[in-house]
Amino acid sequence: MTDYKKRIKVLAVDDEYDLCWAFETRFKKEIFDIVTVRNGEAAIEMLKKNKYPIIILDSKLPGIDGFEAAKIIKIIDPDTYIIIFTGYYDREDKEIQEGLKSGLFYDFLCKPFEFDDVKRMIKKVIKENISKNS
Amino acid sequence: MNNIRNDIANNGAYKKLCNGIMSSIPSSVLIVDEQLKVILANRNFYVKSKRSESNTVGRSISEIFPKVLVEYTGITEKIKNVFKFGEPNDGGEMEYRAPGLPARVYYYRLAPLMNSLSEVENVILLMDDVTERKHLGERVRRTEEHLARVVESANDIIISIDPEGKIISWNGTVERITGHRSVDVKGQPLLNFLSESDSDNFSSIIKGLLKKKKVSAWESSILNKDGETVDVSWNFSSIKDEQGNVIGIVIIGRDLTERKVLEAKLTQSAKMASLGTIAGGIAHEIRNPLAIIDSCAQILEKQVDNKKIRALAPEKIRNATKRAAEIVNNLLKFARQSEFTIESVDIHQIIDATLELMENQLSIQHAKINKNYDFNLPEIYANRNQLQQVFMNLILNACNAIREKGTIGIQTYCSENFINIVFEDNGIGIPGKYLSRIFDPFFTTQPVGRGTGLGLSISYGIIEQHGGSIDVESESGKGARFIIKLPIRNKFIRRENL
Repeated sequence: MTDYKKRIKVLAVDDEYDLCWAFETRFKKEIFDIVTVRNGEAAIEMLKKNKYPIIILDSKLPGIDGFEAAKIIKIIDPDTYIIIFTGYYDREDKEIQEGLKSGLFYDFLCKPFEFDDVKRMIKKVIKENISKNS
Repeated sequence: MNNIRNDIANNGAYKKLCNGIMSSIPSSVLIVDEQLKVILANRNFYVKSKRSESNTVGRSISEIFPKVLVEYTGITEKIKNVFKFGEPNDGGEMEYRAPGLPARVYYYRLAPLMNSLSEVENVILLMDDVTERKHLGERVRRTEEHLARVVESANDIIISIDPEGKIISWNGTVERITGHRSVDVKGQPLLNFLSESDSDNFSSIIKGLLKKKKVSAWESSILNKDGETVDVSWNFSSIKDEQGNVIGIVIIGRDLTERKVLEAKLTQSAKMASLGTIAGGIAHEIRNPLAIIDSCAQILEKQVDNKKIRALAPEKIRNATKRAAEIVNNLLKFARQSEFTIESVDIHQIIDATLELMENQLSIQHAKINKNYDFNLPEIYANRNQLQQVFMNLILNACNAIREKGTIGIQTYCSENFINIVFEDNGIGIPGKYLSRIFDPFFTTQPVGRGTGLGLSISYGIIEQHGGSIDVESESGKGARFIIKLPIRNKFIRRENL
């Protein structure tokens, strides 16, 4: 019974400080909590301590890149929904299509983006998947 | 009247001497009287004309020579004039064909034979066979004409100068390229038609040739009538007399305009190909600041009353805009088909601009850049855009060589008169068998569609054009090291300072 009171944690991973700031500022008063980190290694460390059912993950990161980080995240927590967040690829690109088909990625978000789209994606995940399970 | 004949008839010894002289004269000789009748002919005449004394002596000139010949030479009139005025006549050429023999060309002259009263008693007709000489002359003329045509019709510039450097001749191609006619430039120093900056080089080449040194090809230019330079590749060779002294110099030049245009096109295509490779990276580089700008705008829309946001967001927007604009500027600077402008450049600044453009490419390849700059490096005169193209090629190659993770070292330092730029990676290296070929055009080990095989050959050309060199050291599996040497005082300096 305690679960539904718990707010969903969303982790955004991007090496741009200003984008992290934007995520935190825009999603301060949402039904989910947003947490940001600047690289893949930090994201993995966070995941070891906490559960983040939704992760918005930049495809190009210093150190291990988004694709690699996504695979490690799925190993640590296969239930995590990863939204691949990129300015480098388009949805049609092979790398993205393969990730979507294999279930590595839940969805695709291209830079620049609409916060409303991000919110819709997150809510959809919560509604369709996480709420049912909990 | 017929004194000579009488003398000859009356004096046996004299007659013998005369006959002897007449026979030994290599010319054909006829002596005619006032009626234009032959009174004497020498042996040479009989042999050449295949006639005998009986059908010659006593006959008229017009009977002996064909009618056509008599008409076109006007010989009878000329003989009559000699009788009349007592002056020799230089005659001219006649073509005479004895029956059954090929035609021969004679040069004939007429001279009066005077008696003791200074009256013209007879006229002597001397005919010299000039057939061989004429044929030889004709051959020489034809050969000369042929050679002149070869020189004239050559597509290359052909100039001959004397040892003082004055123009003896130049062919039609130089006339066409420069607009100066050959007759107008004859005797002028060739230096007048070269750029001032080339004069030292040219003079030392000529000096070398006069000292019988071998001189290699030289690329410079020639000035046209409007004072514009036309790029030319020159080749020199000396003209020697029989004693081996240099009496002139032949200069053959090839107009490089067309080649330069093709080279520029090739360079541009290679540039575009490398742009294609980094295009994705550039897209990401621009989309990131765009994402920041867009997010901040969206936040401002929602929370315009939030003081903190109102202070922070515009600043972030402006920073991101600057970043995006800088990337676009860099990109345009690189992509633009640049005029070959030479300016004083800071090598480090060019390398850094290149790295900025390739930042994403480097992060995709997990390439770490290790800069080791010598900050005492002087600025040099160079074409910024071309050097950037070289650096981009080398960094792209290094990126490709680094399969997983690696480091690209960029080092600069000064040595004597050169600045050295070293690009070093710890990638897969270049197998020994490829080392000698990597600067060849179209040589690539990349699959079709990736890499044009032009990058390094164009880089090589660019560095060479700057008077420098580019070398490679590598071993399979042990990374590669490209060393660029650029002269601090290069040919561009002089051009600039003039």
